[in-house]
Amino acid sequence: MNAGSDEAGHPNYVAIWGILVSALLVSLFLGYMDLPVVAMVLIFSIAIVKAWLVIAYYMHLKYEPFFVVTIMATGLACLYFLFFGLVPDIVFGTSR
Amino acid sequence: MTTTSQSGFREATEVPTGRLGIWWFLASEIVIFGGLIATYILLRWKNPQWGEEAEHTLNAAGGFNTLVLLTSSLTVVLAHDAVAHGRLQRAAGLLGYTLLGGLVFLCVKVLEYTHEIREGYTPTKSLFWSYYYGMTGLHALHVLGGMVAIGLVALAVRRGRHAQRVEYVGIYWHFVDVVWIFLFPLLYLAS
Repeated sequence: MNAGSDEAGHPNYVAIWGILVSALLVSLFLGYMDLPVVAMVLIFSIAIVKAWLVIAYYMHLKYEPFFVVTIMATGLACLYFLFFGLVPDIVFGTSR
Repeated sequence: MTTTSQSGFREATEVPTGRLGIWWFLASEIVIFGGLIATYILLRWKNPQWGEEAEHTLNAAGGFNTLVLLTSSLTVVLAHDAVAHGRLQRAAGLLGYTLLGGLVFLCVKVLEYTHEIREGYTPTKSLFWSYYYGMTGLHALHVLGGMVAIGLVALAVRRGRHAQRVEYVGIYWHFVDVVWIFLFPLLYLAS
């Protein structure tokens, strides 16, 4: 048995909520630190872990067929091309 | 050819039709919110002075709202679990708590907007504040829409009908939570 599962093999939703709230408190603490770069890297890493916990265990994506994962990956792939397609215009261009 | 069985399952995908529809809907939502977040990150990269403007957002209010949404995600997933165990009245009650969470979130957001506008940080003050009100406003509209859907499903489940829809509104509500998980550090903590 791991921290995210109960005896029946189902996710322990309350334990996951505890991890999410703990991660939130750490993020808030880091937000007041005087180490901007390190704090930002940690804050966004924690945000990604929190999002993964919600998606995998609360939305049950971890238990969905691979087909459903590809649906969500399609949306993320669109974002990938949008993000890197806009870098030359926004970051290196003249837009403000 | 793909067909739909009497139980509502898409035979080719082994996923119930309603759930499949929600996942497709959320894939489109990823592009909407993701597009806003992607352009915000790029503009922030280009304009580091936005960090000074972000100092005027209320970290405590944003943190409290994150806690509220995380807790409402817990209650909605527990409602789904209650449906799986045939406890429909408990599921309806837990959906009621989720609604309460959504209401608290919106009330805090209204208080935040009031405070910020009184301080002079209106949507037209700068591009940062346009993004702030645009992204949080669109998110709040999604919270409101989710509350309407959850309220209707809770009423139906209380009468013993459409129990499978608890999972569908739950998946949507968790997505709204995930969007906020990224908006909170982007607009509040990264100052």
